[in-house]
Amino acid sequence: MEQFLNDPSIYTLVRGPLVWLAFIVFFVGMLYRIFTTLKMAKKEKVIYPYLSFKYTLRSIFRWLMPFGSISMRKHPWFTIITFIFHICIIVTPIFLTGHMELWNESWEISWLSLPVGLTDLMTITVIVCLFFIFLRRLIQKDIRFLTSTSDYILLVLVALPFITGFLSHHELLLQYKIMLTIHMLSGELMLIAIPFTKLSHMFMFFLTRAHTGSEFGAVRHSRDY
Amino acid sequence: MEFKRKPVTDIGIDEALNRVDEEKIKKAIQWTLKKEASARLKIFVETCMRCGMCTNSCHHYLGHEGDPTYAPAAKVKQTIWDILDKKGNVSKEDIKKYARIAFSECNLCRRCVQYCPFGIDIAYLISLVRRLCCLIGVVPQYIYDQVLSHMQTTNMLWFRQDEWLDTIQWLEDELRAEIKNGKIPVGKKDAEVLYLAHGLEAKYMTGLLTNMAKIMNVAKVDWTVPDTDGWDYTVKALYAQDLETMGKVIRTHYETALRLNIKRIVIGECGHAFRTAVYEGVRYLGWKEPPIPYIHGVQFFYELIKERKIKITKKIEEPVTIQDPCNIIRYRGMGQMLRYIVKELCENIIEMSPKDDHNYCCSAGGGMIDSGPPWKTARIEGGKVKAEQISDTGAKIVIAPCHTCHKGIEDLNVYYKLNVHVKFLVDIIAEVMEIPEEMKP
Amino acid sequence: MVNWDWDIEEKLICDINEWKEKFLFVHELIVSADREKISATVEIEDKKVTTCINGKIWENIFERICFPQYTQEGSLICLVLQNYEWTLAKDDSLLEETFDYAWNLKTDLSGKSIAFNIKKGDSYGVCLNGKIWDNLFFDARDIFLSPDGETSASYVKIKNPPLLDIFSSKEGIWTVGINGNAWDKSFISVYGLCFSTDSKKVAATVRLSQQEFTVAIDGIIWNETFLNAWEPIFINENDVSVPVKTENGWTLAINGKAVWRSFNQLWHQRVSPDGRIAAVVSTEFGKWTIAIDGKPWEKTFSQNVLPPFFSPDGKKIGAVVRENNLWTVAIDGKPWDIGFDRIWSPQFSPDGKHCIAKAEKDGVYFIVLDGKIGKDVFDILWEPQFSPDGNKVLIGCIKNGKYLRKVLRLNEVLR
Repeated sequence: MEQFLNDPSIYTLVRGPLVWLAFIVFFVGMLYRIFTTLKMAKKEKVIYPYLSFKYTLRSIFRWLMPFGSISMRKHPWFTIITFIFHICIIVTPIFLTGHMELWNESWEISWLSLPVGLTDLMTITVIVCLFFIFLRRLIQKDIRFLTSTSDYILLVLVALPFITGFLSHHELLLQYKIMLTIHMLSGELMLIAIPFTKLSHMFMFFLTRAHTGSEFGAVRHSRDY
Repeated sequence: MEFKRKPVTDIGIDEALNRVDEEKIKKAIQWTLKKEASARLKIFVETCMRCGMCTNSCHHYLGHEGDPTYAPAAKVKQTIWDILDKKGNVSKEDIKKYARIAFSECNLCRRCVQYCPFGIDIAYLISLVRRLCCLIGVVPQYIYDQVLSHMQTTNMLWFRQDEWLDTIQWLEDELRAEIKNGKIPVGKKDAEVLYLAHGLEAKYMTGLLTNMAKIMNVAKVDWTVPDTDGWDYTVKALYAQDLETMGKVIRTHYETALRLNIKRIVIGECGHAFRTAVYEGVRYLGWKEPPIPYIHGVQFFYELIKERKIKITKKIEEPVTIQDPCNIIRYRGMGQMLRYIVKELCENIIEMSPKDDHNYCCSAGGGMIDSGPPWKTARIEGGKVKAEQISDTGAKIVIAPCHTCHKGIEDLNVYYKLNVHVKFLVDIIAEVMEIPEEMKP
Repeated sequence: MVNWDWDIEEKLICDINEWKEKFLFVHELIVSADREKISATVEIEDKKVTTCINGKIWENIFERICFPQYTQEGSLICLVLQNYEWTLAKDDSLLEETFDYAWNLKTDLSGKSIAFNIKKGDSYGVCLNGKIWDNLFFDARDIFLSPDGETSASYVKIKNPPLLDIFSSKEGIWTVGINGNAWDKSFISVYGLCFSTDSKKVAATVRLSQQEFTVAIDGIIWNETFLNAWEPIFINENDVSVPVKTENGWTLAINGKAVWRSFNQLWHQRVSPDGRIAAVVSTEFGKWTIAIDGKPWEKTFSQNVLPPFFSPDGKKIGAVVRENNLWTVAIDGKPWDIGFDRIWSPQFSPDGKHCIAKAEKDGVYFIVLDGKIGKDVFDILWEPQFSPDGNKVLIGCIKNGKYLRKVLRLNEVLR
């Protein structure tokens, strides 16, 4: 296995075509999911006529603002953890210096990159947050009742790129190249998984909030937050 | 953690299940989840991250603290997710469990929707469970009896047409003891307002109708009540998710108004009827909004008081608190109007916490009280947090502008020994408003 | 209508203000079709009421008067309570028979037949032209008269399971009673009763189960069932049309077969004098219009559309429509430019060139002719009617408390 991962051709595959594949699947898959959902929503008749831009924005704003909803205020710890987690999980891979070099190398694009120390810290934060989320799932009775195996698998799926990224950067546990290959593979796996798993909530969030926000604001004249 | 409940017998569920075959169950599931439900079902099921943010929002969970099977998402897990996991191949025992959860452990109050980061409409999902139960024929007996009545008579209590007319006539006679030439116009064409009554106001709670008539006469409203079926604004079919009957009842209400050429419909203090008439019912029929204005008692009284059509002589001095009915507050934002009215009527108001559109359900709504005696314990247990809320205010009077809240809180009052009186606005207004000298007999 | 006076331009029939001084209380005013008579139930003293027509009161005194109305011939009929018993009063003479309750008074088109629902003891039925049905039932709801006035019908309850016996009720306890004879089959719900044009047949929509609706004609149901259905009508002596719901939406079925494309909603189908079928449809959610033989008008209305009406030759089709919280009339898909708070039964002129209606805006009433507001405003106005030649318009109205019968030349209405 180690030898297999060490094979330069594997590296080339993971570094090249698989990246393409992952991004294409991610974007196309996500667009497809959104498109089919919107199409299905049309069939339901009672969705579109009630959509309100104003209340969609109000709803999204409230729920993207820390402690913007009563629900978040009632769950302060979870709110803090999830906000930090979500910020880190999105910001880290995009602004990581190492990734920037790759963007630059492949497509000659680059933008602001964060100091290595900071991204390092953010990576650890993601891992720690995930650990808390995992613990919460395991310990808190009502959540454990809701949880199925797939929810744990998703946690692992999200954790892997960050753990392996951290390990490879610090050349721990395994040989750098091997760990890097695993890191890239797990990152690609996660990207591919997003459209087809609950991770799609990163996009679906905006659709459900548009519907519920409009219903509550424009029709029911009350708050959905 | 297992789904553990004390056994409850309801022939509308148990006996009905004996009479159906597995094929009918399968067909009902296919129809509901494949034909009727679509994007919302899919996106809600696929987007739920099982984060548990909704858990504490639910009064049923709070009434059974520590039992995760009562949490909102858990109720979806034990019904919709279960059906999907089993690909629709569910047993009669499963249906029994689904029915119990959907009819006796969720009031469709939508408080959990306010707590969900994704705004997942759990009440909608539970409604789907009720819908498929209804298609199978599994509905609590007490609800189903009322729905069967609605199907033919439009009213909820098998009232004959002469019984309604006769009731109005003797109520008018009684009204004359208080108001000179007091009148309850019946089937008057071209009136401004068509007043629809709660079915019970025509039989057991006639005082409410008399009081409304008093207010209408004093405020000199040009009003009438129907002389045909369609006088009862209730739509218990909503609870059963018998959409066919619901549509027919709501259509009858609007067509009665259009036939008499009145300007708008006014109803008394009721939650579900208002909600059905402005949301579920009109949407089912294809109207985006009510075809003519449909006014709730709270909106109507607000108007009468604000425009000084009625004058308040003496305010209530005892401490009062306000019950915010989900179907007009969370569903229509009447919280401020309600408070305006109560401030005009009462000196001493102590608010519950939380209040307004974040208020807890009375635990009787969404058909739970209509499920009758078998399910009373379920709603009393679910009403624990409401009882605590009321008791914390120290108020002596609870103003509940909704028939269901009213009766639900009365039951909580007895069980939890709250020592309060539950009152409708109409009763308080009739009590404290001024009757001009010339109108006295 | 032919014998009506179309020559006297204005006639003061009586002063209603005097009534208000003379009587303790004056109930709602009603007028005869020819607008020659105005009447109201008046209270002489508490619980002593009678009918006042053009200022003269009946000899009979009652405890109550209900459902007062004029027949087409100009007789005043009502159901009355006298000595705690209900009966029918027609022009101050009473039916001999009395009832424990009587309601839903109805006459046929000619005005010769009179029918109403009755209660005797614990039994319910109909009294048609003074004769009570031979069979009475556990309940009877609503009353229907055949076009020839010979036949009366009502929804009747033929089984009486105890309260809460849902399983018996679900097997069907309601059916149609015709002249006292109930159909053999009973249903969980039956509605939309109608007679064929020759008065020989009766159709109604029946509900067989949760999602099985169909039409029964003389008690025999169609082979086809539908997910839902509204009220049927006979389109001639034999054929029945009914809006039905299928998996694709609502459509019109004739004799059990869907004949129109699907709509989001469909009801109030009517047959025009030239044999076309027009109905209220919702082309898509929240958009309403009229469809003729399945083809909807291009223009749709967001709030409501009322049942279509026709010009006498059937060429023109109109409907009352609601948009932006105002009512107006649309003819052949074109709405009038102005909207009103309310509008009453618009009517085409005999040649179909004009359309007239009564309307209300800001608390006053006026005539609307072809979308233009008439010159006069009234305190109360009854629906204007065209003369048979179409050149004149008859109205009954109240101005300053006086009831006037007016005949206006068409060109006088607006000017």
